[in-house]
Amino acid sequence: MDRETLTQIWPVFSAETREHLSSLSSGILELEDDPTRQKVLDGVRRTAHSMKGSAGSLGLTELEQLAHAIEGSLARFDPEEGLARATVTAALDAVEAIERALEAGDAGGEPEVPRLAEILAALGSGPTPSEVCGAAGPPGSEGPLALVERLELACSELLRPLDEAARRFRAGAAAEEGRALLALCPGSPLPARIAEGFARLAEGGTDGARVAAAVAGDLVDLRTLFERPAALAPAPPPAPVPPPNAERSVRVLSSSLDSLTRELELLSLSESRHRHRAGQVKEVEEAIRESVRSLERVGQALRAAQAEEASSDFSLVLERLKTQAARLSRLSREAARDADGQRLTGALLREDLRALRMVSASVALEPLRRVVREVAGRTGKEVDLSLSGGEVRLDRRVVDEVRDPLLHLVRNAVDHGIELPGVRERAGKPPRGQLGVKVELRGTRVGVTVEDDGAGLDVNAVRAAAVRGGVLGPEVAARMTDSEAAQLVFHPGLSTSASVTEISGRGVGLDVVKDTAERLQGTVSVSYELGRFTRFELEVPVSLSASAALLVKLGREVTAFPSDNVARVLLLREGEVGTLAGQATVRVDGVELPYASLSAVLGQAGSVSRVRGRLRPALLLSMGGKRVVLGVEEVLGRQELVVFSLGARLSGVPHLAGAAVLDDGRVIGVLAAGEIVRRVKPAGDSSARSVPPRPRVLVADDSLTTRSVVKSLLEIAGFAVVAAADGEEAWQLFTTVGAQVVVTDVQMPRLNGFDLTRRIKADPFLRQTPVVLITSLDSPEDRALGLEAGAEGYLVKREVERGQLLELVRQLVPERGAIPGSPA
Amino acid sequence: MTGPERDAAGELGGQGDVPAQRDFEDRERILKERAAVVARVRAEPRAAGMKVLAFTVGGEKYAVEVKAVFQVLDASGLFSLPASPPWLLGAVAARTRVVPVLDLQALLGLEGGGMSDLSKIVVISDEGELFGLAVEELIGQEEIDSEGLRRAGEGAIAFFAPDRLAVLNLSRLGAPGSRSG
Repeated sequence: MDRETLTQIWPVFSAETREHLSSLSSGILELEDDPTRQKVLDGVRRTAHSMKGSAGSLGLTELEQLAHAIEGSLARFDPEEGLARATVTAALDAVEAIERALEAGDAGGEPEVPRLAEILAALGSGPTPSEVCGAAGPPGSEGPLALVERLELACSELLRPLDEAARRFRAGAAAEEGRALLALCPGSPLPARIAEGFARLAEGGTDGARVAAAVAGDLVDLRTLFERPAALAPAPPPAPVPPPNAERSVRVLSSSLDSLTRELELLSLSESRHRHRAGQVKEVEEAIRESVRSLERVGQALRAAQAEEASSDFSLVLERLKTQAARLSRLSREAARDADGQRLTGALLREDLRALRMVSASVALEPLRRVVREVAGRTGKEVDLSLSGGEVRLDRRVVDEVRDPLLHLVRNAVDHGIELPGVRERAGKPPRGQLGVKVELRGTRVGVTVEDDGAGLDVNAVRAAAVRGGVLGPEVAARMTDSEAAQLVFHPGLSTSASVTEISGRGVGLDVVKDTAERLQGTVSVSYELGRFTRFELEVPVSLSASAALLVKLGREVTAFPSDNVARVLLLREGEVGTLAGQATVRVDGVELPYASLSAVLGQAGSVSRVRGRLRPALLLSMGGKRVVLGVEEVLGRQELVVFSLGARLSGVPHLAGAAVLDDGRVIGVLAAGEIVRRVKPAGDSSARSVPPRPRVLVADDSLTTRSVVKSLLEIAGFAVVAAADGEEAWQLFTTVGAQVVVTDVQMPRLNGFDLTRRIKADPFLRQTPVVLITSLDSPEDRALGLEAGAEGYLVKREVERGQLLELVRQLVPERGAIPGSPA
Repeated sequence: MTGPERDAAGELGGQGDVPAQRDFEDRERILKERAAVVARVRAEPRAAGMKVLAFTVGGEKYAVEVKAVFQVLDASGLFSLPASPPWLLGAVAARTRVVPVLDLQALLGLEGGGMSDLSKIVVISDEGELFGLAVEELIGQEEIDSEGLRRAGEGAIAFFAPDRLAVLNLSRLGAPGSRSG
């Protein structure tokens, strides 16, 4: 691993390893107290193992060795015997040594482990044979080294339970040999301590294990001495690592980052309201100034008319008013300044938070090395993995989400893409397969490409599997182009390999890759060339926090598209929308692109086509290389939005990506561009032909809940519903959009239900439209008033059975024909 | 954890430094205490019954367990969503999040019921996932004696309680994605 990548990934590794270390040491201590706790033992082993893995993947061999030794020392652990003190001490020493190494690494230095050999030996796993050879001392030192080895053997035997006599004999002999060491290196205190230790062991006693551990430690130090004869003097204790001045990274729960983000967004909501309010105050201030000026003119007139007394009173009041106006103007300036200040701080805060959320892509890329090695080993394939773009910084959440799909794509490439060496050679390719994973920034989006130089996709097998799985009929499958059929691999329940292998058949299918991509408002696609390559491309936004969205009007509602997906806003002149093989199209940059209006795509009643002779706004949506033009009623502007997922309960509503809160506090739905694009059928697809218009019902009610209930009720029954919040709006909608039945509440602001009915019934062209009044009041007077106004039906809310309203509306709908109210 | 429970557990956990002879007697005592505490904790829900928040929808009484209630909001904050299916009334801002608001009657597949105004939204947290139910009238917190509870089967209703009250099974409620496609 190169230095740069290591520097980038270090903070993550360091933080993760620290967590491992703390759980390791507490686990070991727990085991020492109660060796029978299998669960703790398993946990500790697992932790050591994953620590080994992550150190290994970064090429930190020393740390890897230590973790491996800890794991090894625990593997020999027998719950009957419990953990020997020496093992515990050694393991804790190792933990501490790793900590030192991390500190050194945090400070920007090499993560070297002090006294590595000694700790390894104490853990019962000496250096690997090759290392011994490399570190072997000159031939002359073989004598003392052999002695040390014998003593080490004695020491480890003494650590095991022995009967009294055997122990005394073994320790006594060792003590003798230890004294022989004294002569060999008189300058060191070690031989004396060792000899004394063995002597104490020979005497016996309760703290035998501790003494033995100390002896073992001294022996290792001694061995080190003999192996480096130049430094016979005891090595100075490792210099304490100076407290790192460099920035230390801390681990933060991603949930706290999420809630921080949300809270910040709420702050920015109030911030824009402040700005709005400051603007309003300024308006009031200007209006008052204007009034003061007019009053001054009145004062002059009064003086001219020589109304002395009135004039002096007047100027007194005027002066007072002027003072207040000046105060107001000062307040207004301050409010504006505060709002500006808040906006600035908010912007900085948002920027910082965004940076905080960003991690480098290598966090998701580096683990792939191990996976590739593992899968290649199991399948007998030879694979060279090349990673690029690890330095690209992405939103933590995006990285977390992309990690699993990426693992799957890579496993899939090794398992299904790259051929066995023999097969490759027969095909005239080098035996080693090439697998490339590339991360690259594309504006506000990031592309991840996984490409192998294997056999390509067997698209006919994909077709066959799709037909077998009932995904589509054989004719449709045969009609599809190869590149269309290739995309079927993302369909749930499709496996290209005839037998689901252990490696790729782990429950994460390519459909999950696609789901993840779409959840992130991204896309995934596959391309291939037979015998040459298969390339999967994943494209997702860089960040999931507040992102720019385009607000559009949809009937009475406002909804939004992520700006990322909107390539351009177009203004279409009348006649620019043509048809091509039965599908509406618009010519953009010389290409006919499919066209549909947003309301039609969503199956809602809309009034897009009502406006004549004017430019009609439309969005050019671009999603994974597919482009369509979407007609909208009105583009309301751009705003930074935080899109909230609405949860698993809404998985059956694919056109909604989530919801967001606007500056003014309104909650709006955010559309999933992928789904919308999919719903706009390409030219030549006859299923896109419009269905006969459904009868339209205008529902007016000032309560949103009632309106929604009535609306959904009528929509299930097959009516198109236009909803209005009061009588005046209902009248506007009625005269522009038209409806075949009007269902209206009685009490509404601006224009009530009675007056709306009267207005409709007074119009010679519109009067035949039936009106149903719904009211929470049930008095004979009201009923009479309603019928007098000309309503055809009168229902009381509390009594209304859903069936009753439907029945009434069905009865009242005229035979199919012209929609009254709409201009001819 | 209640007071005595914590104490008992703490003493047992920290025994490492306690001299051996005391240790032995203490262990006996502490184990007894702990057993008593555990027994009490297990027995509690049965004795105390179930705390629920009751409300009406379509003139009928429903309830959810109080511990699942995240927030109760006024229905005036409800906004509709584009082209939403019948069971999805819209969305509402709850604290710092935006949550979907569902129509209980549609979820339960009920046809009848009045159309009176929904006044409140009960925001529910089901295993971390938030959603709102629009209700007509909030009755308030009630405690149901477990004696009176009757299991309602596999559906979205967990129990029937006396006084025509249906306690909802939140994890089964909804998943309308699977129902409506």
